[in-house]
Amino acid sequence: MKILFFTFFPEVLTQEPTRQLDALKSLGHEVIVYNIHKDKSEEQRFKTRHFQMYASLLDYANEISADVLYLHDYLNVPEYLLFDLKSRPNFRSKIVFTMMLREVNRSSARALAIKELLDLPQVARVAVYSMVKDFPYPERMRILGTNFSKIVNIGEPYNENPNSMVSKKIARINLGLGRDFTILWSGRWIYSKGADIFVEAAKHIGEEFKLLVHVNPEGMDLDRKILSVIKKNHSNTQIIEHHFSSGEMKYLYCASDIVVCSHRRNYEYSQSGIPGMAALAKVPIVAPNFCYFSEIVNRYKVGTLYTPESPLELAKAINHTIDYYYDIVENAQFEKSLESYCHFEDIPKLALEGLKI
Amino acid sequence: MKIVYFNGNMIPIVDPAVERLRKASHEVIFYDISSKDESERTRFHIRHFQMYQNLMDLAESADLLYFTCPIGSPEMFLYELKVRPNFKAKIVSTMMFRGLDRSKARAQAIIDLINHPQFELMVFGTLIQDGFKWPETLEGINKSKVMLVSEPFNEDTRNFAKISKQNARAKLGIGDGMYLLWSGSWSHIRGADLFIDAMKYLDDDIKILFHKNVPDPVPPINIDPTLRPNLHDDLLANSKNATIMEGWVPEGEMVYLYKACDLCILSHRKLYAYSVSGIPNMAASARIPIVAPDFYYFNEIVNRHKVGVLYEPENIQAMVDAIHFARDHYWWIMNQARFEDSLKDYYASGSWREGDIHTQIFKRLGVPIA
Repeated sequence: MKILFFTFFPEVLTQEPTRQLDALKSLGHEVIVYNIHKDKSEEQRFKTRHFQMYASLLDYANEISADVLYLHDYLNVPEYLLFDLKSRPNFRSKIVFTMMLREVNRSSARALAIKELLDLPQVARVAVYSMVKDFPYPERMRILGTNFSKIVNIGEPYNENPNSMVSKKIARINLGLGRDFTILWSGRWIYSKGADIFVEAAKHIGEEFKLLVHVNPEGMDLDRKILSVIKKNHSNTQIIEHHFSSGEMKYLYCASDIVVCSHRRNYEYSQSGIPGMAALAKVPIVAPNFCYFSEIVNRYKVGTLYTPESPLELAKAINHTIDYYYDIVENAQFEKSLESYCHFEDIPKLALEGLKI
Repeated sequence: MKIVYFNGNMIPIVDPAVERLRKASHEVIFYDISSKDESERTRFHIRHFQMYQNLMDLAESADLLYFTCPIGSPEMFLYELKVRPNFKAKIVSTMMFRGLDRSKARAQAIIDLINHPQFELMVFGTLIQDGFKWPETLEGINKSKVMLVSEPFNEDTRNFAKISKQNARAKLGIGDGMYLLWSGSWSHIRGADLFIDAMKYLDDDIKILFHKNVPDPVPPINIDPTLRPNLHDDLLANSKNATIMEGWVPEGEMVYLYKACDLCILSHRKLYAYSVSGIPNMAASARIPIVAPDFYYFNEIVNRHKVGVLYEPENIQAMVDAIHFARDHYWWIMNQARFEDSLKDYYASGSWREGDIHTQIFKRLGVPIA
């Protein structure tokens, strides 16, 4: 098969691709990469004229007579792809794209657009990232009669090599941490991940517990002042502002006793590497009560859930986890919770496996 | 009448039309994205479809949903409409034609949106009123629901006559010689990088006034991450013959830039086709020719009114050649140029919000406005 491989993450084209593309090539496919970053105009279209980017992409698939157009990175705006495909009744490549079902449960319009996209004959398959096997489809998709036979669950990719985890002692030495019971918040300091909710919750956590706050400096969309607020709210806080490369994140998780997810509701049905990392480090999570977090915690008992977007409820859940820490850790099925995880390089293979063109 | 009045501009605005509608006894809910909390602003930027959802929830019991800005994603908006069969408010929106000649899909979304029974009126800003050329992709559009309005002036045109070239140059601190003006926001679509690259190849007798228009404070929306990071260094490296101005020029002051120069360059990329721009009217008001990329509307303005020279878009060598041609044939171009005629397509009574474009729109809708 001639596969047109589309990705918008430049790093995928420099780091991962060899393994990912090789995995596809090893199955005998001809793989052509479509790199939007090679052309400034195209890059611009991706960022501010997203709808035009699909036009260029589909034109190119047509031009090279691709059998499959594979959109490796999750589809952000299904409406745009849908309209572009509708305006090309003779488009012959089959389309496979990856997607998060983020927010579908909250928007009938988005769910309808996905349903109509799946009804198109050119769309062969949608590969969904999910942190749980046999994941529950969002209610709205069911109501609309979405064609689920075109959806495959490819799991959630590991952020870290599962065999490379280290002991708590080594991790703490590496980060210069002491013996305090440590509560980790890690990620981009952005609104959807609810960093501000965690900052507010910090007021209600005992000072004897250390807050280890990792700030990924990329793409921060909250005011930097909030970094000083957390220290006011909880003086026993250590902030690490650093972009950890692959292989380094494990120290944060292995050094911690609890990992906090403070994501807002708009993260529902979205992927997150945090539960996987926490499970690898055998550390319980405190997570908002919506899918997929709720599925993972309910199925595998790996932590505590709380009412989303409530700092007080988050603080209560953290304190509950501290109070019942050993019971929670003993009951947690950390290894089992990783059963639907996959390796990064396997994603294209999983997405395209068994596809009959 | 209950009206939900939506402003999607991130810079806070005072919109007199809101008060004028209230004075006419309408109940107006002003949904101003610039005044919303972080949550809503995030939705506006990156969860656009959810913002439409919130907006339409709000307009559920309204008679009119009025966008005083373009509907950024007609596809998403259309789907929000599709899932609300009982939505009763009539919808009015403004829009630019930008990019439509390049995307059948977007054009189709606009056609479908305009044809939707709840959609009442689409107001398109245009630089060409008489003999407007519709993009081919919009064939089939319900033109009875479309209102073409002129692009408003950015400045009070009376100011241009009051200021001499000499005074303008003195104010800006520039001397004699032929000055070429580049003025605009630091963005890819306006081709700041294309002109900076072209600067290297311009003859030494062409002096440049480079105005990097950056609002203060800079809202994140005005930072274009796709421009190469060292572009400002390149500008400095290529600027032996250039005066660089940086910063937001307040209303009333732009006139000095245009009056001080002899020629104005537009380096916009093709993406800008069918989009409105105030530059041709500023240049015409200052009676200076433009060197512009050969696509609609710029080519229509230049071809009709002979107010400048065209070049192949996104082609640096062609841009340089066109600038040299304009210099070499400057007086011939000036003699041909019909600046006054080119200004007739502009709307002369101030900005969209301050002028009476709203009066025209609401009159057409049959909605009283004070």
